[in-house]
Amino acid sequence: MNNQQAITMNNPVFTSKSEQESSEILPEVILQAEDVSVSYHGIPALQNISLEIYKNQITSFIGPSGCGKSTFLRCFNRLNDLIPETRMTGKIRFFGQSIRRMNPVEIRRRIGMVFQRPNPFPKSIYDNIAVGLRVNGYRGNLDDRVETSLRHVGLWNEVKNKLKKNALDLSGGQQQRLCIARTIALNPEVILMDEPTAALDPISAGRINDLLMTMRQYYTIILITHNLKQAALVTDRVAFFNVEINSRGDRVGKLIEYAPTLDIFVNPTQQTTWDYVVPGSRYSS
Amino acid sequence: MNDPRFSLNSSPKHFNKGLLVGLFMRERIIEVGLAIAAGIPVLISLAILGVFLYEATFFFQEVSPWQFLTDTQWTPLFASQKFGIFVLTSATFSIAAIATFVAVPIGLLAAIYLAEYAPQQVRRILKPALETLSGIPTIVYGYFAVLLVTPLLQQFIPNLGGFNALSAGLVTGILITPIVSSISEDAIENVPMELREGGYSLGFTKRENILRVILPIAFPGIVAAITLATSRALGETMIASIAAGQNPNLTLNPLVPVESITAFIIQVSLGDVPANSFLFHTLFTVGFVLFLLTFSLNWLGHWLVRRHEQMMKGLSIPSIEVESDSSRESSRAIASLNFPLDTHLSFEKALTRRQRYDRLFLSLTLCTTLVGAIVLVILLTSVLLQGIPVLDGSFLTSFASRNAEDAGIYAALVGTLWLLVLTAAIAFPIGVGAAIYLEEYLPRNTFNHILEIHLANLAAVPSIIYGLLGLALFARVLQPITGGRSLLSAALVLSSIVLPLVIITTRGALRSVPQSQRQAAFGVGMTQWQAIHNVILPSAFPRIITGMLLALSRAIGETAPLIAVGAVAYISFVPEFSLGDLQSNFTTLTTQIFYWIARPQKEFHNLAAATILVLGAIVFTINIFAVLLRDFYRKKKGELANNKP
Ligand SMILES: Nc1ncnc2c1ncn2[C@@H]1O[C@H](COP(=O)(O)OP(=O)(O)O)[C@@H](O)[C@H]1O
Ligand SMILES: [Mg+2]
Repeated sequence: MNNQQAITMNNPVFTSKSEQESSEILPEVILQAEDVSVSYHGIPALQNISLEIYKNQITSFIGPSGCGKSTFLRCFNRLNDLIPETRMTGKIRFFGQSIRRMNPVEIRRRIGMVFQRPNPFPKSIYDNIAVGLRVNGYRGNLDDRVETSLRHVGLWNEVKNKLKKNALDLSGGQQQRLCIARTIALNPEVILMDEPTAALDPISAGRINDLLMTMRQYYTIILITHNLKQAALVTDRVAFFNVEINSRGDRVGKLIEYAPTLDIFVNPTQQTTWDYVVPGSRYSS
Repeated sequence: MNDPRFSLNSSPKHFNKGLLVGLFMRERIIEVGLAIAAGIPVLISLAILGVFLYEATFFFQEVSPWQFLTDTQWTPLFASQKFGIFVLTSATFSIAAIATFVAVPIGLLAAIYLAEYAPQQVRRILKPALETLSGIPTIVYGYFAVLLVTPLLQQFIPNLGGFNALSAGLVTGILITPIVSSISEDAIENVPMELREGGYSLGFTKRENILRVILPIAFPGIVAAITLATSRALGETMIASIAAGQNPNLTLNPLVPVESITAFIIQVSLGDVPANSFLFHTLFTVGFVLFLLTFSLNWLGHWLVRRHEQMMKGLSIPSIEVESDSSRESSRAIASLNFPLDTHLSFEKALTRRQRYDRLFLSLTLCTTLVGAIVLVILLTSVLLQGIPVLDGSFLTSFASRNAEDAGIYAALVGTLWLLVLTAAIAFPIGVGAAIYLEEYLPRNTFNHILEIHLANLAAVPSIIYGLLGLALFARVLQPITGGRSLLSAALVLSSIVLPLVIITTRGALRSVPQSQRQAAFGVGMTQWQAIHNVILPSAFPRIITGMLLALSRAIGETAPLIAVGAVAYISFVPEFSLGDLQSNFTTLTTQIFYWIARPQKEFHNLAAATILVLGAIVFTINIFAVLLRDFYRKKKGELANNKP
């Protein structure tokens, strides 16, 4: 029995949020953001976000585009460090330790990432997975590791006879699963996914949703999605972000509401959340 | 409606119909004129092909292709003539091989540093420093090779000849390093951000990401860079003929004097070769071999560059999933797996060690990038030390002389300035006209595309080839107009050389004018030419002028084509602006340097250094002017933009 069901059973749908929180037995916190703000070229994109990510849950970030979901996600593995003129303030803790004090290279191995557009390297299918293992000095058997990773994303049968073929010859969905395989091969403790199905056709997207369903109890995943069905289907918790105009006229991303998935969809406390998630409002699809 | 306020455009009869017809005629005439300008580079290519094929036909009537390819001697100047082309190509190839060997590692590491590591401020200094190396006139490199590098090498290699392929190759390598670095840098920067982030998100360090992800993806672009740089080394003329010697010698030994294809052309051009003599045919046949070699390499290079760019654009456009038995099977297989993967992974390499390699790699790339700046400093100091003492007023105002103390550069200076003006007057209108036609009139089809690549190739044809073309076409066929080996012929040769460059930069300038401005112009009823004249050209003007100035600074650094077309060592008058004077003999700063380096006495070498300083000052002034002009217009544009509400 997983968490989600536990919550549903213990809580009548229309209880207030505080009651819920108190009765919920929360799992271990892996990542913790405290008052995180990010600016690009001195212009704030995201302000004062605090939230916690729990172990072995899928947490999703939803909200209109441009509200800073990707920006926030990329703070967790310090990928924003690579973009010049980007400043982050606030603190992110990984198992209680501030990531600013940790080595970004090590963080990125431990916190993997899957992107919106599949980005396999223009190398063979085999090398796409092997290169990460080699660079990180994997000591076991490469072939075995490549095979298990491919099996776990359900790609093995499709590609086992063409491991030396270029990964770019795969279909979009296959490429994305390859990217997931390449990430899980390194055994990350958290996987960040930035709209992993947005650039895919419905069949491919469905397959990735199936995969997420299987992974949900074993992996800690943060999933950005525009697809509310996907969010409702596969996630344990949802954070809803929105854009607010600050006093200087900048469009700034804010965290509006963060709660277990069911609450967000059935019993949101904020009007804007309600507008965004409730069927018939302009965003839902 | 009778309100006078509304009568502004009340009836069409306010516009003269005759005016419209006249307008149409004018449009047609202008279009035809521009089309003719655009035809000129094509004509030049055809002329090159025609002249060289024509001459080669005569050559191969006497010498069988078999002999040409298999003889092991090259003695066209002796009584017992032998024509083994491999004697010359062996020298050409060994010089180019040494040059490539130097340029590839330095250029590639510098490209990596500039693209991936350099902070903005550092990049702003080091990149121009490196690129200046390919703008230095090659005669200066020749000076550098024979008077500095060879003596230095002789200290370590005692049996090194005074002329040798080694120092010519090393110095040519420095000349082509910027070609490798700037094209490779583009290739590296074209690697999409998504793929870089893919590497980083797997826990790669920066060096690992560069070596494992970025370089393999940029590889075809890097190969293209090497191809183009090699082609430049093959066609390099002055360094080879000054520093490698003029001894036809079938050998790959880099320590002995040899003779490259280009050096042979210079050697023969220095004497007066009668037209239609067998030596004349030989000259062009050898030139044709060089043309074919470099031209095919350039096509290959440009094709690779384009293919790589297109590959980068389409890199991650994935196709749609298709249901198949195997895919259905594998999705069923997911469900039955026990997650997660074996979590007892061990990673052996300590991160600290990987990061130590990273720092080492960074220092390595930084040091190689500094090579450019270091070479510049050495060059400048040695030239200053030698040249300053002789550089005075009388040096600028005296004619050349057998006597080093009395010699000056008056005629050469005036000759160079004359060429500058004439070349600008010929190349600018034709080049800009051609660019306008190609960019604004000719539809963007495959033909236009091919023409674009072809122009890039013409710009990369060794300038000595243009010199030979000038010798056959301008100095002989057009002798009644040009007066033979004259200032006018030289100006036509330099114009042919810079024409492709002017067209390319002007096209770039026109292309940078936003499409919205064109639409606005047509929107208020302007004709094609009116739009170009009133809107597009003014907006593209600063970039066009900058391009023209850069092309001119390249033109005045040329030596080899001027020697081929007949620059003389000694002149005792300065040309005035009259047809007679433009048809007269000429000398220039670069050819003067060449003749002085060739003298054995040290005093003449000092004169050469002083002349290099004067040449450098002119090139520098032109470049500064170009930069100032660009900044001036940029500022003006900035002010305009700021005035917007
Ligand atoms: N590299 C960048 N440079 C400047 N601004 C950026 C950059 N990336 C994102 N932004 C800005 O930050 C805001 C948030 O963007 P993003 O995080 O991509 O939103 P989301 O993923 O929710 O659509 C947007 O206004 C966007 O324009
Ligand atoms: Mg996003």
